[in-house]
Amino acid sequence: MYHEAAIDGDSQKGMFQNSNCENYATTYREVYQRRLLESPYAALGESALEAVQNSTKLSQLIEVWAMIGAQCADPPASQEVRNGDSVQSSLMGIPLKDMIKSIALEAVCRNWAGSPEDFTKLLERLYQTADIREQQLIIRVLPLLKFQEHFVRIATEAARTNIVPVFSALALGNPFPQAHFNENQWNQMVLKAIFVNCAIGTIVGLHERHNSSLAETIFQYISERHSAQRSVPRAVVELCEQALSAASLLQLNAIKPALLQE
Amino acid sequence: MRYIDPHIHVSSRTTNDYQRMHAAGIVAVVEPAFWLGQPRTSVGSFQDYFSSLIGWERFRASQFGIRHYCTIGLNSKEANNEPLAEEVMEILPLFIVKDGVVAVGEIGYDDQSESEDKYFRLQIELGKKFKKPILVHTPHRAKKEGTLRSMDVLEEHGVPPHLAIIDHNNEETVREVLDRGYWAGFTIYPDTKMGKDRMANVVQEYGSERIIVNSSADWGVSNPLSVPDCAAVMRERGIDEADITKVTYQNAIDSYAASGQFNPSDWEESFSYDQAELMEGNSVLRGQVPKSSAS
Ligand SMILES: [Zn+2]
Repeated sequence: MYHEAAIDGDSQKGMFQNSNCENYATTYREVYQRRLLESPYAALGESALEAVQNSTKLSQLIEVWAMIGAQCADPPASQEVRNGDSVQSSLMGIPLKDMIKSIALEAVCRNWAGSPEDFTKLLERLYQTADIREQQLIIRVLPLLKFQEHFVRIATEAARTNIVPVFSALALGNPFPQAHFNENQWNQMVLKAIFVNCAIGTIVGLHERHNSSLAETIFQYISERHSAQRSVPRAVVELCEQALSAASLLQLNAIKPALLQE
Repeated sequence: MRYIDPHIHVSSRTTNDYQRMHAAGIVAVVEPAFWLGQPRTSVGSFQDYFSSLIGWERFRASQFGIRHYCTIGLNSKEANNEPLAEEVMEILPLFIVKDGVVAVGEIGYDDQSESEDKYFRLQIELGKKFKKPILVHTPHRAKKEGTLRSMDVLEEHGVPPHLAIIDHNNEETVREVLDRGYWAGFTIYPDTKMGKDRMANVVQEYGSERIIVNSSADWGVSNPLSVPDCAAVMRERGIDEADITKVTYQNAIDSYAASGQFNPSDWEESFSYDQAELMEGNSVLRGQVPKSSAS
């Protein structure tokens, strides 16, 4: 049933942008508001937004971030706020401090009067000088940003990084790659997620963006793991089976009885 | 026993070192920005280096159950390339404000040139502006003179002594550094700096107040286990356990505390949380599962 969608992966990109990214953005803002209001940092959230109102420079934003960093102590969200669907609960994993920083960034972007290219320069420099948690929050907030189609280069940096939490911020529970990655970028990200043993079920668009070329590469991976007598997660085998060529499927079925699955 | 190595250039060390450090009880490290054995030639090299201190190295340490902090600064050797130093000064504020940056450093004198003096002073002012302690590297050559001069300059700029760590002390400098109220760092570094036995002598003679032991392990002949090894020697020598704890753990915390970025709760409570966060949803690298931070 996924085979059809897989035939032309590139044409799938973009069509999810409006729906998935917008839903994510709505949920993100809701979760942020609820967590902020139940925390002692509502005033800090306000003053951060005020402080960035006329910010057009990297140094100004970094100063506001430093202020947030110095004043917010990351309170855990209450159980009531925690209850929610899977996207909501993944947004709960973002420390409140980082959510406040991300909303400040979003405000700078929303008020940006200059060209998208100039904002992209600012965002890239921000990302390059960010610490691990800041890189994660930049990646998590991408689907909320204006001009987001300009930020694919930042996202591909995150897809390549060895810093697993930053990679996961992009690959898991984030609609940005589904909306903006071309087939090659998408496939590399999914493969890397499999290699670093991510729970691939949380990749947004995993089935919609699946394609035969990816299935073949995953099959090679399974085959290598099998030869080395190593196990493969069941979800990876199931993904591989979708969109696999008949010839490879035959081979997969042949090794499957002896394949270690977890 | 828990230890902190408050001065180690872990970027130059292997994962094997990290495993041994964790096993020996080191829970947190501070990596001061320094030179790499040869001079950098462009500001981009500095940016990438600073960014690795708050990025990749921080992650790498966390995989082995060790909390990584850093200090940011333009080191004295490279302060001698003035055009480059000017560019580096411009990017320093982008990094000094980050979480986990516990001081401006390591800065100070090498040849005691005019240029070194200029950037030492400018960076002292940066520390004041961003309310960070200053980590002072004292020179190998003309050490005593350079150490006294460093303290004079700090005083000229109105830095209270409890906000500055004077590092790489020896028997010749310790008296004056302590008398003037500074934190006194000692580097256990085979051959060139202090040895473990000499360190034990210093603690026996001067006590544990404001004395801090570190390894400064880097790409040279050095030992990332210097802090726990030195503690063992002090124990053999019958030095009181409370004093050992001060010089190998507690004083490091107290000296960097003014940054607001160096809290034991980071490695006591939330560290296990971070590890869980790392594993949750993505689990860690297969075959390279990091050591639990609980042990
Ligand atoms: Zn050093």
